[in-house]
Amino acid sequence: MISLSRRLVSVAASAALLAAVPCYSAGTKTFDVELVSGAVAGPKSARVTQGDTVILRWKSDKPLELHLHGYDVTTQVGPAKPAEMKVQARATGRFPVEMHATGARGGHAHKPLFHLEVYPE
Amino acid sequence: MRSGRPTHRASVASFALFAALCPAASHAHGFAVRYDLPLPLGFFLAGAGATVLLSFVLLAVLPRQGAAGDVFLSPERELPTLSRVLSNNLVAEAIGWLGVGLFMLVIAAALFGDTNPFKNISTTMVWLIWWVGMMFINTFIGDLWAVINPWNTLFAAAEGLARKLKPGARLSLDRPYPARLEIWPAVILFLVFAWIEIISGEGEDVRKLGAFIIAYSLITWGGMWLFGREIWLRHGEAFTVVFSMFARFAPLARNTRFLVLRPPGAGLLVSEPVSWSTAAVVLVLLGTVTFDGFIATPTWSALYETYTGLAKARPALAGVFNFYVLATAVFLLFPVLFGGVFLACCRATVALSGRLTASETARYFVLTLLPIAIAYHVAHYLVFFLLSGQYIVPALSDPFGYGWDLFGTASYKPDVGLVGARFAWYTSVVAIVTGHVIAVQLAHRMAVHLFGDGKRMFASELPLLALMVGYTMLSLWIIAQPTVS
Repeated sequence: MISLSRRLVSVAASAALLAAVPCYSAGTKTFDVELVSGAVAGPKSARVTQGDTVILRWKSDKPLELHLHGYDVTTQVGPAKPAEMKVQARATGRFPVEMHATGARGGHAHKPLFHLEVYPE
Repeated sequence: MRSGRPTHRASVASFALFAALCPAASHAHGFAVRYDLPLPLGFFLAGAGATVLLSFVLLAVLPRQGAAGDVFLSPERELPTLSRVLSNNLVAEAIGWLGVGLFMLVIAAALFGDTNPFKNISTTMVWLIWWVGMMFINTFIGDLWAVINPWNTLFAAAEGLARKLKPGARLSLDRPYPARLEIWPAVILFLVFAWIEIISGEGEDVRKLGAFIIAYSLITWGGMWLFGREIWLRHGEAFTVVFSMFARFAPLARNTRFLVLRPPGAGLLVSEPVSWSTAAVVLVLLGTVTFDGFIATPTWSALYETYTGLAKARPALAGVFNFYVLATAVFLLFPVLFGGVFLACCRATVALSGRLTASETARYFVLTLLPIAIAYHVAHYLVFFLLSGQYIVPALSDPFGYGWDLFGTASYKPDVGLVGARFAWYTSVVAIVTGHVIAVQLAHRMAVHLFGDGKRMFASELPLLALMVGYTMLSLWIIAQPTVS
């Protein structure tokens, strides 16, 4: 009987553990990033935890196309046109945001502007 | 840096722009983007602690004596069935021609496909599947490159055809290969390859990649024509030399009769000192992969800023104070520096053992450093391979980027969450510590074999052990650095 109840407890415990794993401490984290003539004014990275909802709010004094690698999100930003990237930070890693020269097909001839760093819990 | 087809104009303005783009090249990596997070302090300390602790444990527990043969020779198990299957003509031909088919596909795609490197199979095939993947297979399984090498298969086929047309005809001039050249041609060609991958930033320009492959093919077939196929493979074909070096570690090998299974690393214990050019292969493998990690560290950034800052003080020398000059110098310095430190350790070993010369000692022990290089390759490339290697899935359905969908996988998007940061950290630390343990264990067996038992042998091992601990710490330090672009 003891062994059975023990087994039940352990089953319940592992079920609780399994249930707990996908429940990230899901918060929403918002970052305002301002671009002045194609460079970031202020911190050049944002650090979040896996599971967070991340909102990157872009402002720029020049029209640009921005690309968040890995999550593969692209947005257009311009002087009168602030832009927003919203991602569910599912994958961990350090993801660069690069500027695509508008017009040039596949152009990537710039070093990353910004990094989104997603750390595991 | 993913540029379509850059046109270089020799105007001042474009030179300035070119110089401004140079830092981006430092992150180029042949092709694709890395998403590594730096190793956290806890992992670094655990790895460093385990390295030091296990080094002392190994010194204490490894057998110091016994019949030299017991310590030096590794057990082997013959695999007659597998040998029969793999040496079957049909199977061998199929593997060889599979290599040729992929080789042709890569060249055709590089020359005629879409110039976007993410839409063209050639970049993923060359930098991920072939260079990183072949290295893993040759290291952890066995020498696949020896049988799939398309340059070898094509030249051998041409030789066969020549014989058919005219019995006894030779395709090669069979000039005697100058013995003093050893395998230096392969070492130099490999340095050029690594420079293109790590420094040039041109690896993802698909048209240039096609041109590089054709140029290398001409060099290889030229060498085979001049000196004979087998001779050039062993001395001048950079990838045969490098991949067979990795395969010395592999569990699958060949004895005179069959394929054999042996403990990993067994092929690194040599009964004769290796040549200096063979030693150079190990030092270059250590140096280049370490350099590749080093150029993403803040230390490199600071060095780069200082160096390019000098150009402002002396504008006339702006051409000297740029990224390429500094990167190339440091790239070449790394293997030389490792060689110098290694030789100094060997001098100390000679002083303590009173046997052999420093040169002989170095050429006996140099291969035992390879597991440390392999470990760092795993730490550096495994996650990159698993994430960016996924580009092969859509590329196989649409190799030229023409919008085909041969296998229905053209719309597959690589999953960057396939493995996460935690996986990367654990595999890196486990690989680096395991590589260190294997290296120490091999160096110990080499020392027992060369110096016999006793206190002298024990003391003579210490300089090399210190070097290995130092190198392992350097590997851990590099992956723990905050990455910069």
